[in-house]
Amino acid sequence: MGRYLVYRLLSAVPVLVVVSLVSFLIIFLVPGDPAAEIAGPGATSAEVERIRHQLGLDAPLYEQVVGYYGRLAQGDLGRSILLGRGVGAAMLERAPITLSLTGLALIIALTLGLLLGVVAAVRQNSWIDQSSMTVALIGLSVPDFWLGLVMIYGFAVLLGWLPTGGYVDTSFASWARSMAMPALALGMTQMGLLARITRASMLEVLRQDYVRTARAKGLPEFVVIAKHALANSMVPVITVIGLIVGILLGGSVVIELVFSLPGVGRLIIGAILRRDYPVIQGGLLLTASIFVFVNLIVDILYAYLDPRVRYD
Amino acid sequence: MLDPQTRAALTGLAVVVALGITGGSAEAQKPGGTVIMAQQAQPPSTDAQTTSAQAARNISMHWAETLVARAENAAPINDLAEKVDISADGLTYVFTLRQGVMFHNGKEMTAEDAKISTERYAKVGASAGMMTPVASVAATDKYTMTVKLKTAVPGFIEQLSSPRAPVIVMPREEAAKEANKINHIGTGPFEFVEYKPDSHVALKRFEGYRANPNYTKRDGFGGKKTAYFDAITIRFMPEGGARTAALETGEVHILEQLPASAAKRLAANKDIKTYEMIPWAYQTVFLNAGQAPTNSVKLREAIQIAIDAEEIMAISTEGLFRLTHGWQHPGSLYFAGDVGKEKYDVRDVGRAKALVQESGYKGEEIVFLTDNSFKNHSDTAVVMTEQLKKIGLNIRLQVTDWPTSVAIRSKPTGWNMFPVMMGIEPYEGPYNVAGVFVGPNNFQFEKDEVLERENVALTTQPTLDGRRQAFANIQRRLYERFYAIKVGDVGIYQATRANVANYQPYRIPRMWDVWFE
Repeated sequence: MGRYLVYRLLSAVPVLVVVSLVSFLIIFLVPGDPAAEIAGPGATSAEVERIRHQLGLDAPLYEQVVGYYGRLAQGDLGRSILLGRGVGAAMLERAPITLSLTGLALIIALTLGLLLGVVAAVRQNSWIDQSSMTVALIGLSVPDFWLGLVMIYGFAVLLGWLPTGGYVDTSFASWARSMAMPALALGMTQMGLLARITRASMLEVLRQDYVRTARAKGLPEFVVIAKHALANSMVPVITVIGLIVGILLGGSVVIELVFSLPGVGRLIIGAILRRDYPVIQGGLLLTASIFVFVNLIVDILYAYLDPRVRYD
Repeated sequence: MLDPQTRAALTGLAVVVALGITGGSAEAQKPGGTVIMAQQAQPPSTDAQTTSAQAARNISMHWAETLVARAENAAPINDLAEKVDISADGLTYVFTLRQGVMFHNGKEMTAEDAKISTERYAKVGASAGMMTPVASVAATDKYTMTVKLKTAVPGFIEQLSSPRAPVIVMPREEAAKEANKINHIGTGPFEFVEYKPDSHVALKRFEGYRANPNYTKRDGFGGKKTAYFDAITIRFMPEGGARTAALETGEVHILEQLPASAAKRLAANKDIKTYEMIPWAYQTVFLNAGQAPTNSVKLREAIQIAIDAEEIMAISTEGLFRLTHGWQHPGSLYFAGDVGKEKYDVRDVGRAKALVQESGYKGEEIVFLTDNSFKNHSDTAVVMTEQLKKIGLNIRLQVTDWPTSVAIRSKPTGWNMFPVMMGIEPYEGPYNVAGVFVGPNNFQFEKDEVLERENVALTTQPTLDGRRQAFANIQRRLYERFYAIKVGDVGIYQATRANVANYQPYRIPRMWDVWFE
């Protein structure tokens, strides 16, 4: 396993290099640059051109590539053009918000999704099954931004229980109040997906001989479900969870916008819309790294959950 | 002193650009509290001199000030300058500074600070072109800055007083720094505390602020400013529904802009006051005169007289608009009367079709470039495209994001039409409006000698009447050559909580001379 881990980590390096190079070239080819944003809507092309020159954006491509990789080799992601600060620092500052959001959303999706999926499978074709899958379907069908706006109206405007948006982390209570609605809105859609996958996987496992044997031994139903059925149905679920982490990270962009959360997603989307090149490149590199890391974790979990899987 | 004729005309000007007159308040002013204002966008830079973005101006005009500013009616007034003396030949401007004005770092503002700040603007300012005629800037004594021009520019003070990308005065050590490397130290009624990107900007009351003793009340960006709030938080909230909800719950006290639908819904809400601000800007559509088939004057005229401006404005502004033909707002100093009015909002489809035929148009594709970053731009393009199909034009909408749109339209080919809302330009006066049609980087990609000549007259005529005539000639020429279509004046809604007293809409949501009841 150790060798495998080293191999996987090393193989990630060329992936990240290619990602950074491709992103650099794509960004260079896409029209527009941050000078237009700084100059404002009514600016003349001469004004935009002067700002472009001040920012060094009119330098030849090779100079920009060499400069970028020179900095990257030293662990420097560059400096944001529009924020006036280091890209790494800007991302680190926002990482806790995005990680809080996606982490909480994942917990919500896992808890509700697994619960609904297991209950639906155990009570297959009953009203409980139908109700659970209806809830799952609603979760899958409702866009997270719409759910977020409805929640704002219900919980903030009508009931006054939670703030409409923003991020306050001065105490656990304020952090929880800031995160409750965004995490719920983000987690609900993935809850539906997880519930359906869990149900399907559980149904397959529940028909296996070893489950019948466990029941024949007289084991309590809870132990049969939790220990024998659920554990063995987790391999496809884990695969989906790996995908869900990526989806949640992508979906956090919209939720961060709706709830005015200053997270990494909003940083990256803002950078794309305003062509803040260093932030876009840093963001893509970070996103690619997370995907590589999550896939690695998923592969390790396969081996943990299924003793037949070995990477040596 | 300003040109006496200009000054007299400006002083006598009645309500201009419908910005309203700041009335005295009989209410008791109460200091204290933190006011929270929400705006959609965050600034591309907080270095006030380097950007003309509205999002930046909302912040910078609270912590920074300029030598000359704009009054409520948009006329230039002295601010950090006690007075401005202009030599008879129009080449020398002597700015006598107010004494005892303190920077947020505790140092007194002197002419040396003003000089280095002005020189910095020439290097990094977003409207640095206004400094082109400047031959030299000198601190002639502790409180006197002298600017010498190479050629007389009667509109120099009007340009210098523009808040578009303001020529703010900073301490000399800050003014010596490159763009976006400054500490935010100014002379304004509020001090800069922090900027958290995608979250907020925090400001606090500057206890050492010396209000301008030459005025009795606030006046535009100048006048006597009093900071009643202890602190200001400007939150960046991109989602319109969430901004409105935050106002309803009281989480924010002032909204820079309220969606029209929400303004109507909240009109009956006793906890909220809504304000109409019109004109806020005007909607224009530029035509590429250097690219076929819009290089034909007859085809451009056909577009001008075919469109239904009311329909475009009603959809693109959600209902708050007015139809005016002028390239300056009615009632403003340079408003050119009825010049060109006969060509505005004609809606003559028959005549337009005839002009299309006369132009020799053979159904070539016309690229209508627009962006999806500004809703009024895309709405304008969509509605206008449908209208122009009725006169037989083959229009292809090309929708991109804002930076891409700017990049494409800055090139002479690849587009024929693009919409843009001009807000600060007409507020500033005629110079930046005329400026987009002249020089090597004109928007329409055709050098027009008449416009060039009249623009020179606009900037060099010694008398106000002469400059007004020049602008009228520019407007006449625009309605002869149709380089751009003035569609109409755009209004916006602003809103505050009901306990925000003495709020008056203006180019930015001003939070001086405003308090909590």
